[in-house]
Amino acid sequence: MRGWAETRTRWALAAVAAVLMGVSVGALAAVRTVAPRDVRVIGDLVYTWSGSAGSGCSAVGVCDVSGSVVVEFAGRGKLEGGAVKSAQLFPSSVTVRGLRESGWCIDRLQTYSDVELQIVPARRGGYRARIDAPGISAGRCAGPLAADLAHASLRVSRSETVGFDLRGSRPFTAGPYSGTMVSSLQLRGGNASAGSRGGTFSTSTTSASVPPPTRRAWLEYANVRLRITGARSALGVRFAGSGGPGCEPVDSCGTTGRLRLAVQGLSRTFTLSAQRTVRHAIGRAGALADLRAGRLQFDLFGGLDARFPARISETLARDGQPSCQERVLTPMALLLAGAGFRDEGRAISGTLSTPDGFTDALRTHCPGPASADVVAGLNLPGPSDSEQPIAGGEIPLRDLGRRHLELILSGPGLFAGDGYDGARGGALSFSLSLISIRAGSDQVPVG
Amino acid sequence: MRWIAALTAGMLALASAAGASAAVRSAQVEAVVSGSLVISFHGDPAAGCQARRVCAYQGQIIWRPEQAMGGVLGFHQGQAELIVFGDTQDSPAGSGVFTRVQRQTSSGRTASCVDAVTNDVTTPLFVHAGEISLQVPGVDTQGFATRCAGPAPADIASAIPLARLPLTEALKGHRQFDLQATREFAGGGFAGTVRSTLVIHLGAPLSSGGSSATKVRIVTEQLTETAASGTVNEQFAGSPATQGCGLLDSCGLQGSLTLQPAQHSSIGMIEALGAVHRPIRDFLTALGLSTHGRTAGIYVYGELYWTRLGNLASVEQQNNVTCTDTQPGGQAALLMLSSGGRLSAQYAPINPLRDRCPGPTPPFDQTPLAATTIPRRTIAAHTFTLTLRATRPFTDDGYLGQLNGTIHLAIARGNPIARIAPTPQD
Repeated sequence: MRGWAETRTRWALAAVAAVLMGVSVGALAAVRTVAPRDVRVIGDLVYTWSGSAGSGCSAVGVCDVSGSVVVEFAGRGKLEGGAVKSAQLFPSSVTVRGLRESGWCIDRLQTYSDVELQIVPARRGGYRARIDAPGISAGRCAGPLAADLAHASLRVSRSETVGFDLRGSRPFTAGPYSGTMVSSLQLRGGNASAGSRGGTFSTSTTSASVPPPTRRAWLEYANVRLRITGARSALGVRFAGSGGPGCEPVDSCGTTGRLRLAVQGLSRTFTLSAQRTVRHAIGRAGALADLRAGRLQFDLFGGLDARFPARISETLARDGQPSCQERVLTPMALLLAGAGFRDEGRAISGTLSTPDGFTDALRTHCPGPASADVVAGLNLPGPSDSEQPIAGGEIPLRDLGRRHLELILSGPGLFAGDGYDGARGGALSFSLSLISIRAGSDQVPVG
Repeated sequence: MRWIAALTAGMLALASAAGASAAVRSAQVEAVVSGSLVISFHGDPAAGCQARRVCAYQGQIIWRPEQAMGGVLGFHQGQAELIVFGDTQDSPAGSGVFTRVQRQTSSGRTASCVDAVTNDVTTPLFVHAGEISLQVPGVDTQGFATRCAGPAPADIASAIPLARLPLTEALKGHRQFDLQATREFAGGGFAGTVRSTLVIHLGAPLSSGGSSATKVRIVTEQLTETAASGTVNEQFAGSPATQGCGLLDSCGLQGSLTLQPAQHSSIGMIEALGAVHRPIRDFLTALGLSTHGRTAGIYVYGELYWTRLGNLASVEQQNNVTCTDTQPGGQAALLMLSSGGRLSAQYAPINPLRDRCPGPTPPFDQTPLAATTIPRRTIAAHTFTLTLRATRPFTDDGYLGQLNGTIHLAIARGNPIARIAPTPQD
């Protein structure tokens, strides 16, 4: 196993590194420590589910589905806090298994997201733990979505020998499925982290120098307040099980399907702000002209960052026969921003993304391609590394100031993922209405 | 995306390396793997399934290395080895080994076991008479072992394609090992078909990394295992249904697997590392060979490797059906690290402890199979014994278990050799 090759290499290199670094422990001993503790993580989380008639499995077509996801941990975690403790656990593997009447599915999920615990005193003694596991889902197999499994709570007991004992189980429902979460987790030990010899310290500088006189400069600005509503039409994905043995693991052989993403009832107001320093006063017309020409720099923290539910519809057929269909609401993020201080641009860019931690925003409870499969190769800049762009579009700066604008977000292209191949198409159309414009220049103090 | 494995072919003197150039001591050649391997099997009375109680099983093992990443092959002192790293975060639809095995129960129900593993697969390369031979990586080292029942490496060995290239041609690169074949096998109670579309494409030779200007002093002693005894027993049972036994066909299963370490005279080493300016007596003291030095800042590290861990014997019962099997264990390692006057030793298999019967694969890469911590002075003698204990519960997908037992390893020390070496770059 790679673990032992890595362990051997890690031990050898650590020995060499320690010799070379020549760290003097005594030099750091005087610094006080405020740091998370290392804890030993024993056990795992297991979610099992099956299609439930009481939860509407017939309508979706998954009554014959059963599955499980096993979350194993790396053996070490971090624990910190006082009366309310928080712990970070690091999944080492997340394995999904699924069975249906005449098929099987197995998938492994990326383990980028930590599992976080909030351990609080319970009202009647003992503790309760809230488990936040944003990256856990059924993956490409039929089963719960990440939103279904993202949160859970368990009773926790504490002892000198065991530490925090989170062993227990909780039932859950997830769309057309019902299931059980079983925790065999224990958090033991709690040695101070190696880094605890470092600590917090503050530096302060005092200066007896006279502060420099305040200067004033002209700041040219434009603030455009808009209302966005929408959207018309929808994004679409067509997919099919890939050929060869690649379709076997995720039970996609002979399947064809469609995904549709539509936005309903979105209405937000926001302001785009841009400015620059100038040598003299600029009037409203001049500032607007400079805005449209791209001469002003947009505020990095302005624009629109809207979170809202989108509706995902999926239909799946096997060998030409309808097999599974469902609609779910999934969180989406719409970001509208102009070029920042480091960028140059002639447009307001819009991006539709999956919010932080929701790695299966394009999934329903039916089997299907992972979100990462669908958007692979779509080169859109994401708001952050953990948010996955799905569609993008632009509004030319020269159009700012018009009473009505349209933002069209799309992301056409082909994809070939693990077990599924397909194509993206369609577009989402948002309407923007101008509420107000303030533009001109002011004298402002500059340091 | 292609699966990349670095293939090193060496030219160090082997007993029968006639015709091969003796000038090349080591080399690395990049390799790209395409295709897939599909092993279909079923319990076969003609192959002895009744004696092993595996007649009710049928399944498939599928390996698609094209999507995997990584791999390195090392060549040292006449031995070549291909190691391909599996990415544990990859979907089994992309890479890794996955299997589905069905079992017909006495009541007519079909039970299923579904599993996937993404292990590093290691295979030795044989250099003989100027030729290098390559078989499908990992098959003979339990690299395809999952928690489901299935054939052992020895059962399918005759059906696994083998390819050869002249060593000098391989070292030049831009050649390929063609492992495409469809063959049948029968053995160990199973019969079936191996379909391989694998081709290993050799790219350009790689240059080796350099070393830094920083130097350390290293004192090394060879270690030789002279005797091994004891046993480790793995007791296990299928987990409750709420913990997924139904998807690994482990509900109601109870079994045990016993490991007896085999004495193979494994050879390894123990080293003391320190700053160049430190006197030799400090290093010898750290190794327990002297009492006149200072050990602060001297780090002791040791390892022993086995190509065959020992013998595995398992007995399992499920629904009044008993499955028994014996298998040779795969590779194993003993790692030792000294800190603060004590030596900790951890013993773990590199390959899963698996056989033809269904069973767990406890994560020994996180917690070793057996371990011990002893005073460093214990290893001062020319021959010392490590008593490694395995006493802990474990959980694995679909299984709960307990490890018990003790392994005794008698280790003989060689003569210390000191050298100054540059620290390696990544």
